[in-house]
Amino acid sequence: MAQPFQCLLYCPSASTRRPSLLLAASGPFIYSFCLQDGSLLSVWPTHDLEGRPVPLDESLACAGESGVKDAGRPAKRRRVSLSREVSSSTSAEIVIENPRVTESSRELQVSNSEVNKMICASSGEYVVAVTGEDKTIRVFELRGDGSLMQTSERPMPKRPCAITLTPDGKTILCGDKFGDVYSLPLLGKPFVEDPASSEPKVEDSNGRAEEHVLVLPAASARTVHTKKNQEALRNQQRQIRQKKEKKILNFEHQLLLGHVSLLTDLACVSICERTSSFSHPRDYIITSDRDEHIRVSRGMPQAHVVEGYCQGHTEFISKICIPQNHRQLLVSGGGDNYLLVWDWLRGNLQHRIDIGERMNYLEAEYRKNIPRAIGNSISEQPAGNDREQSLAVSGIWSSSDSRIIVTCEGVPALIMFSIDENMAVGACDCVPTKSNVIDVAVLSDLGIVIYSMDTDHEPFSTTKPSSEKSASSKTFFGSFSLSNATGRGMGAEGLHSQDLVGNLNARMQTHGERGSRLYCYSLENLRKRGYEEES
Amino acid sequence: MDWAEHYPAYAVPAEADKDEQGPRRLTKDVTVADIGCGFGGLLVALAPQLSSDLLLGLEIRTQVAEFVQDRIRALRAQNASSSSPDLYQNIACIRANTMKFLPNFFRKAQLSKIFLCFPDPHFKARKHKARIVSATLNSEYAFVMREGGVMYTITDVEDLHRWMVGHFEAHGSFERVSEEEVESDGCVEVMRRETEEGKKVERNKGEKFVALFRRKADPPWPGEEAG
Repeated sequence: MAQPFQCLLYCPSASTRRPSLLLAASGPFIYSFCLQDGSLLSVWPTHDLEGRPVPLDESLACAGESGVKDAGRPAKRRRVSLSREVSSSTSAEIVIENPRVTESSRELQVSNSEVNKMICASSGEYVVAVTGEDKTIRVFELRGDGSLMQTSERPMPKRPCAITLTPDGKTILCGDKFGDVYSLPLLGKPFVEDPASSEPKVEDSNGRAEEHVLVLPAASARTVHTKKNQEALRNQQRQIRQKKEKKILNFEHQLLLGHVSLLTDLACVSICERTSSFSHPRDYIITSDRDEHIRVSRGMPQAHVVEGYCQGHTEFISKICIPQNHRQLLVSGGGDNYLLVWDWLRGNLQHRIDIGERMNYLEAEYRKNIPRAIGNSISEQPAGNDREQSLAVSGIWSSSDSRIIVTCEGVPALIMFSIDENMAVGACDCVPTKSNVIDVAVLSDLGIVIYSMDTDHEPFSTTKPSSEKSASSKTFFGSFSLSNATGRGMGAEGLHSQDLVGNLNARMQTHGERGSRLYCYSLENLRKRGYEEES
Repeated sequence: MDWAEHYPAYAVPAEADKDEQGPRRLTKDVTVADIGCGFGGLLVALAPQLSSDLLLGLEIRTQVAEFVQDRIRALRAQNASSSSPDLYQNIACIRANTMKFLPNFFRKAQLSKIFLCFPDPHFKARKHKARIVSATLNSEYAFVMREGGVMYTITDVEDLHRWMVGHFEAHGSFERVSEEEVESDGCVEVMRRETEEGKKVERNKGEKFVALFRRKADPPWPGEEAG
């Protein structure tokens, strides 16, 4: 089995020296494909942990089996995986540990963490990627030959859940699992080298003992009253002396705002309001969280001012999207089986688009058509009805022709609708795909949408392994043309989208059997259980 | 949110309410919130003092919130036949996780006073995120508070007091209220005396630290400064 691509990014050609690229992340690797012919240009990281170069073509083949074949992955990362995925994992990869190589790996900029998010900055000159387990934001420079050169890596205090750029493209905004949003300069140095800021670091390691004696416990014998609490206070006073050194972020960053909840998505938008007597555009930061809130705050440097909320979801929100051509609108989706379209400046709900029913219909159609041999085993499972409770929007994209494209976790289809000039929402369209869609890249200027698919699981299932065992029969990528949603599209560069995708898939398929690794669907975990009571 | 259930005396009469869909509305909005109201001592004490305002206590512990609701119901019943039957009609309590859902209960700039009385100090440094005052939560308080509204804080933990003062002073939407104004504010005395925690601290001869913060006007947008 081969590992699917969990993250796609389209980088339009910034200049004549670089062709348009499709970046696709599979596990910890980022592949860079040329969009003219589908050829693989480079892979990041270029060297494995022992310093050996990763051969281009073989890299595709070994991505999935790296843990089995060469145990050169840092043991530390692996342990993180082990504790978190232990119940779901059947792959041998994460069990193998090799402590011998961990020391040598430190100076190399290599990570075994999965790439979760990628965004394109400065009109294609830079790519910002988030690796999940090591909580690191990495900035890459995109070079003329399509290769990625890492310019910085910045580990965040908490796991980043969403990243975006400010409208001027110079600052990264990062929302994390604790609900906080930080701003970091795009090209900030990872380690501040001037002596003034490195000195306190030295003090920290040498003068730790004195420093912590100075920290008095917040409580005193007068503020705690019960016997137990006073005992706890004595313990605390003892412990304070052995306190560990606190991790300090040694790069420029600023806390902008925060939710008391897991932050799920983030958007930054600059808009010229008609009512305003000034022509100056106003910046806004829009954030969504697990507690069904969408918050509209002012942009930097006034991010502490909350302008309003969009209230209407009853479940977690996983994605928000500002349509390219309708920046006054916001499309949001999550654990509800509908999408909402907002006039976000006023907090007004404009449209509600039900997608649950459509998904049920699609799944019923799918179950009808599958061959009996497979059908038998599937029909033993409870059929389609539970789909209604467990629809989770996994992605919302907008195209330059005012179309909105939506994917749901574990659903082999793209949902599309368009928004016209009067901000009316058109009919919802469904494009069935071969397997569950994981990520989408909208190539607006080429009029093509490319999506990556989950080859490890059956369609409509996030847990049942796929019956297709050989890589040669799998399709990793799919595409369709925006001009006519089903036909063969002709891109601006004389590119047939289906040929391109055919090339990409062929490249994947010729590399045959690969190590298996289960892709984790994580959105459903955001749904609240009974004990997490809402107000 | 059915406010009429909590403030029956202020509900818009059913026949006058044109909006028949949804819950009945109130003749006026809640303008004072006691976040973490505990057993309701402050609410009950403030009820006669702020008789023209509607006061709402928010408490996260379900049983405590129910106790306060029962307490208010009992007080209203006792006073129904007395000379001031409207007493305690202006207070109510709901169970709520204020840190998460404050904007679900109040509109922008709805509140004129928020009380934070003896909040959980969360002594451990790793629990500081759970404190009711933080740089990021202050933005939410600022959102529901009108310009000129006042945030009241009191605690017996000096470290928490410094924490709250530090965070509110650092926040662009609040400014500290001067010492003289604090002393002349009638609510401060009630807050010191009438909260259950306040009485407990008194018994233990503990110190009480009070700080008030005023909601400043939002700054003009960058590049749109008047003049």
